Amino acid sequence: MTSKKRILLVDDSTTTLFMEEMILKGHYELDRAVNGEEAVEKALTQPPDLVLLDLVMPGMDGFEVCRRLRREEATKDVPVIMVTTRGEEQNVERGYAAGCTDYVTKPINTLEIKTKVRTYLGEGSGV
Amino acid sequence: MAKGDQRHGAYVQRVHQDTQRYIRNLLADNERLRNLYESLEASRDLLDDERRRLERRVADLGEELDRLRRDNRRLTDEFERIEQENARFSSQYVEVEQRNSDLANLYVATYRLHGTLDRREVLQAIQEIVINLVGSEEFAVFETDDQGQRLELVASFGVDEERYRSLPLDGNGIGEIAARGEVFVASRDGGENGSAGAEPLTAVIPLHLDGRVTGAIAIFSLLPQKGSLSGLDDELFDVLATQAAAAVYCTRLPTRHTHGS
Repeated sequence: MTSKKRILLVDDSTTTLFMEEMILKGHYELDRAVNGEEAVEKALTQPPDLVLLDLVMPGMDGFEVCRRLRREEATKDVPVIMVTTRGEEQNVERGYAAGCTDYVTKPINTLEIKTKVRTYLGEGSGV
Repeated sequence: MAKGDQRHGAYVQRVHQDTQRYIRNLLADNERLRNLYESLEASRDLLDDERRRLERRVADLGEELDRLRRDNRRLTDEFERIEQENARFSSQYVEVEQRNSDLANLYVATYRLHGTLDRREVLQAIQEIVINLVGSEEFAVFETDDQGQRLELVASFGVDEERYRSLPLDGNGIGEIAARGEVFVASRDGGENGSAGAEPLTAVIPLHLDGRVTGAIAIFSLLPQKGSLSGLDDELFDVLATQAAAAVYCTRLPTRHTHGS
């Protein structure tokens, strides 16, 4: 029996984390981090298969989290999907420059998140 | 005379022999032709049988072709029916998925509002709901003062706090709208061009409890990618109007209980 893919959810908003868990639970193994430092620590300790990453967080923001993940061998190829309220082109470009793979904008759209996750974790993920 | 008779006799004999030979040849030809005729008759019978067999085969193939055409029409009709059903199911699936998503939003909003009795966390939950579920980064959250005559700013995001620090409940703009007690959406309920007078408002959600307005949430603009408000937003506003008011009220209960004891 194949094990579930693992997703690290990173956001300082409890509401967003709760919503993402509602959307993805049952199909993936989920872990959460409420700030950038915790996200980097968890990702390096147990590399996930995908990261959903809020960009604007107090302390270490999502851009820095992504840069750090890209510097490490264990996480340099992990898909990182930006979750951001700021869908302007310059912010998206900045995210890509930091090493993000894709992005979704808030407000949270269930179908969009499911589709993006399935794109990077492949078929057979159960979503 | 005798020599003449001899010559005549020989001639007659020769003619007789020739005639007999001719007759034998004719009989032989006749026999050969008779055999040939019989052979051709037999061949004709075989060809007739083969023709009849092929005619039967053609008739059978014709029936088979008709049957296959009928099957093809039936399968084509069935395929079109299944395609239509598939399209209907796909549409229903999308509707159900959307409704599930909407319900998840409402559940999360309600859970967050009532998941704590800490006032700061309840106000934080209200802000997160507006930012992450509704899609706005310019809003203000008010509570009525003890006299119920003013709206006091208790939380905000992306707006000038001093401008909205304290507003009369029955005054113009936000206060007037909140006092009506009904959710206001500028694009639906506003004046000309969907505006709300001088205020750059998108929506005002009065918070009410026991028939009284206890506060309000004023949303000034939506995130650029949001576009416009939807049916889900109306439902979120209804949740905020009632549940947020109750959640904020409940944060005061431990204090009231302590003070009253």
